[in-house]
This record gives sequence, C-alpha cells and structure tokens, in this order.
Amino acid sequence: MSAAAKLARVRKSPRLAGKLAGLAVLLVVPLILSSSDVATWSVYLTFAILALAIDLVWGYTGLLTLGHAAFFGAGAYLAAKMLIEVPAVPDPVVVFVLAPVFCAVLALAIGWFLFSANVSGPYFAITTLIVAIVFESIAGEFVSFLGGFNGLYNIPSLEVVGIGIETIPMYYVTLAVLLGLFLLSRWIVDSAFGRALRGIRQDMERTAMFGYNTEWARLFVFTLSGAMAGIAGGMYATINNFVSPPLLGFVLSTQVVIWIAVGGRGTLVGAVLGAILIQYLNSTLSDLFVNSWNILLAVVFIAFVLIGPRGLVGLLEDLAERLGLGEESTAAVAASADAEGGGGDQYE
Amino acid sequence: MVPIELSMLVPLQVGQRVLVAATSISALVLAAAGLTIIFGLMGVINLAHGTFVMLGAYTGFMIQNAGFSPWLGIIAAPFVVGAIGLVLEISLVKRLYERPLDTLLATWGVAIILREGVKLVFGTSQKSVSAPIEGSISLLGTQAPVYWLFIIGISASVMTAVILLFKYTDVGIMALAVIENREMASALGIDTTLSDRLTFAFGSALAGLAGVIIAPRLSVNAEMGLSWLANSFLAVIVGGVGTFVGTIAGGVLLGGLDNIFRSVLPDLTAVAQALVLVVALVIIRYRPNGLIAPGGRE
Repeated sequence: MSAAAKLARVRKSPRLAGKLAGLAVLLVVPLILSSSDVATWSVYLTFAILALAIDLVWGYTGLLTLGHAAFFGAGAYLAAKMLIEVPAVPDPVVVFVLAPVFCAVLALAIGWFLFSANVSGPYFAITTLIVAIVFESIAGEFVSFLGGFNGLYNIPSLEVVGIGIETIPMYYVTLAVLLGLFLLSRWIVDSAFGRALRGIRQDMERTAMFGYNTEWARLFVFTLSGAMAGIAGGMYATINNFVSPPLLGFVLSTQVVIWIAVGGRGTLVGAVLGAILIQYLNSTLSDLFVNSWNILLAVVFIAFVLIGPRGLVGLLEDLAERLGLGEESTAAVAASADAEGGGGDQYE
Repeated sequence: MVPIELSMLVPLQVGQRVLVAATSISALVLAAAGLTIIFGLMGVINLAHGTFVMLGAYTGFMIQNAGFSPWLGIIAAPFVVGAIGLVLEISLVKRLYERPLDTLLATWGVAIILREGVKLVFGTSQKSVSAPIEGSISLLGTQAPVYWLFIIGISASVMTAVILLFKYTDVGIMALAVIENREMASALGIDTTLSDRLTFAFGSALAGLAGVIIAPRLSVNAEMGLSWLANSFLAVIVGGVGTFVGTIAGGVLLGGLDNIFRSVLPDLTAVAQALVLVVALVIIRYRPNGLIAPGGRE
C-alpha cells in the first residue's frame, strides 16, 4: 500500500486515526516527562498488557475472570526470584521466556481444572476470584522464601549482555512489547479462532454444535492470556524493582476489570485506553480527592456497565460518527462494531 | 510430665475451639442465608453482600457511639441494611435481572462506593463494639462468654424462622412463586415488583444482622467485607445453591475447616484460610451442584 493510500485509509477510519494518535502520545511521553515519571508510565504500560490479556478472556470469550492478577503477580515473583538469586540466567530469558511459560503452565492447570468441569458464568468469576485470594495469602505467608507481606525488593533492572537498560529505553521496550502483543491479539481475534471465541461468548452450545471444540478453545485463550500476564508481571518486576503480595490479588484483578469496562470491553484498544487513562487519572487526581476519587471512578464504572457497555471507545466512535468523521457507511460501522464485540448479544 | 499436662489441656482447648467455631459459623450462616435468598433463589450475584455485613457492624458501632444501648443496634442494623438493600434493588439490580454478569460488575461498583464512603466518614482505623451481655458461664470444660451463646442462639432461631417463612407463610410462598414463574405469579395477582424488592431487602437485612451480632467479636473496619463476601458465596455454592439446609451445611463445613486448619497451623493463618478456599474450589469443581442440592446446574 502506498503512503497516499495509507493516509486515505486513516482518514476514512476514525478508529484507526484514534489508535495512531494514542500511539503518538505514548511515543512522545518520555520526551516531555521527567525520568521518574517515565518509569511510572512504564508501569502503566505493563498493566495495560495485563488489561489486554484479560480483554481476550473476558471481552471476547465472555469468561469474566476476577483472578488474572494471580498470573501477573506469579510472573513478577518468578522474575524477581530469578533475577535476585540466579543471575546466571540472562535477564531477557527470565522476563520473556521463563515468566510467560511459568504463568502459561499455571493458567493451563487452573483452566483445565475449571473448563473440564464446564465451570462458567458467575461460577467462573467466583472461582477465579478465589484463585487470586489464595495466591495472595500464600505469597504473604511465606516470609523467608517470598518475603511475606514486605515482598521482594532490590530486584535488578533489566540487563542485556551485561548492559543495563536505562529508564527511557526500558519505556520503549515496554511500549514495543505492548504494541507487539496488541497486534498479536488483534490477529487472533480477527482469525477464524477469534470468531470461535466470540461464538463461545454469544452461545457456547451453538458454537460447539458447529463443530468447534469449545473446551480446547477456552483453554487455549486462557493459557495464552496467562502467558501475556506473565510477561507483563516479569517486566513490572524489573521496572519497579519491588514486588509485594497485592500484585497477585483480587483487588488488582478487579481493578483491571473496571479499567476495561470503562475503556470498552471486547475492543482490545479499549482495554489499553482504559488501563492507561485511569492509572494516569488515579495518580493525578487521587492527591486532590483522596477517597472520593475511588467513589467517582466506581460511579463512572457503574454508569458504563448500566448504559454504555461499549465504554469510552463506544462513546468516541458515536461522537466521531455524529461529527460526520470517516466515510464508512452506517452498515459498515454496524458490522465493524459487531466484529469488535460491540453487539448487544454478549450481555445476556 | 508432658503427657499429663496434655491430657489436662487438650479437653479445655477443644471445648474452647468448638465454641469459637460455633460462634463464627453462626454469623457466617446468617450472612450466607441472606445470600441464599439473593443469589440462590433470585439469581442476583450481589458482590456488595460482604459490604452489607460491614454496614451492619458499623450501624452497631454508630448507635453505641451515640450513647444508646447495644441492643438497639442489634434491632436497628437489619432495618438499616435492609433499607440500603431496597435502594440498591430499586436503583440498579432491577435493571439488570436479565444480565447476571453485569449485575456482578455493578454491585462490585456499589461495594467500592460503600467501602470508600465508610472510610471517608469513619476513617480507616479499627472500631470496637462492646457486647450487650457481659459475663461468662462454665460450659464444655471452659469459661464461655454468655454473648457467644447468644450469637449461636439468635442464629439458630433466625434460621429456623427463615426456613419456616419460605415454607409455610403466604409472603414466603409468594416470593418463591415469583422467583419460580414470574408471569404466572403476576397473572395470579401477585405484585412481582414489590415481591422482588422485599425479597432482596430481606436478604440484605440478614447480612446486616450477621454483621451487628458478630461485631463485638471482631475488629470492625471498612475492609472487612471481602472475606465475608468470599465466605458467604462459598458457603452457598458448596452447600448447594438455593437451599437453606445446604447453606447451613456449607457454612458449618467451611467454618469448621477454617477453625481446624487454624489450630493445626497456628502460625500460618492466611495459609489456613487459603486451604479452606482450595477445599471449596475442589468441591465446586467435582460437585458443581453442591453437597446437598438435587438437580443440575443450568
């Protein structure tokens, strides 16, 4: 595609234009902010990866997981232990291979345990919630091995062939990983497999009737999502240099679900938008409003659940349409909204 | 020397443990019975249920703080929390009866608002509530505070009343009829909207009662809702969704295991609690219909 054609495509699609604008903002963040703020933004990006992972399982497949932080935290703890105690293993191997593999195995085991008994709907939500509570209590109790409530600290930052990666390059590494996993998720949800996942969300029995192995599909997406959460956790450990039990817990798990609901579930970009925007607002507004900020966020969250399940992304798309931006026909918008998971059928 | 000491100590400890366990199980069963009505019968996944227990405890604290008798707190808490439940049903839950997972999300939002609201008003410090009955009596080879026996007694009588209410009274049977077949109940002239409201408020009131009666045994704080939420849901699911007898069995099993694991692992309280959760997880996985309930999960 020529540059001119690309430009025309961007002009025609407000969604693509919005994504590129968002990426541009993330690219210039290190140029405007101080070094310590850039590290904070790197942390935002690792949580955005976690949000992306949860959106695959919840937004697309309809399995509301309230325990995904268990995988994020497990990745973070594994990376922390390895980086502190086994310096012989190269850091990138720990963060990008061992952490996701470890979390994929955990997710596979838990996923198999639940899906083989067809635990679904609210039961799935409550059992995953329990998993997170169990993980958090275990990490808090093993003082000598996992640091107990104080967690593990002085975790070394990422080093590649003996060269430490500074704050700003690390930010771009995190951004690249987020972008890579975003494109991977996009590719998955647009594939035939992605259609099977949406089919499971809408009507599992019908999807099974069409010949899809829904148990295998759910297990695969849950495992993949666990691996993504593991990478995010591993990166978090090297960026933050400190991990503690709440990283595994139920509160973080539900927080991320709230970010996704506000950003727009089942759109991928909504998960990233919600995660970054709310974390940013959280750090800037919570000083001003302290407790009332959480109340305000909860009110916004309830409002989106009640009347705007497509979240901020849905609002922005409606706004763009009303302003007459983009040349997509109404039918095309409706079709893409359905393909993106904006259809009403998932909220049964 | 050691064996003699043991033989003297063990019965005492066992008696005490049994009483501690029975007291905590009594409150758990009350809270879980509220959830049996709201989740088991009505099918509403109310994640604010644990916060309702917390609000019951805070009602007791407020009334005591204002200089009134703790008895007034015990009487008032179910009404206060029931009223809050009524407001929740009217404002949110009734719009989401067809969207269970969205109910779960919205009520979690409500739980956050209530929790943070309590922090705003009362701060994050632990509150203590004093028991309305002082003194202790000798029982099971140990000195048992009379108030513990009161908790066990009130829980047993309320549970009996609740079971009888849904089995024999017109109001209870009407509520069940609405849950069973809304159209038919409506055709028979039952006000289904009113019935939903009252049923939801009644379930919430039980959570409030559980909170206020157990408050003197706990340190009351804004974060206490979470463990009540998790334990109530587990008691309901483990026992078998929708039966009061199942909920009592689930509560006794979970509360009993919790106390056993705690006494076996005195230094690892969190692990003991986690073990209970793991047992519950395994039961949900292998007996999805619960220990008691007949029939399949839809």
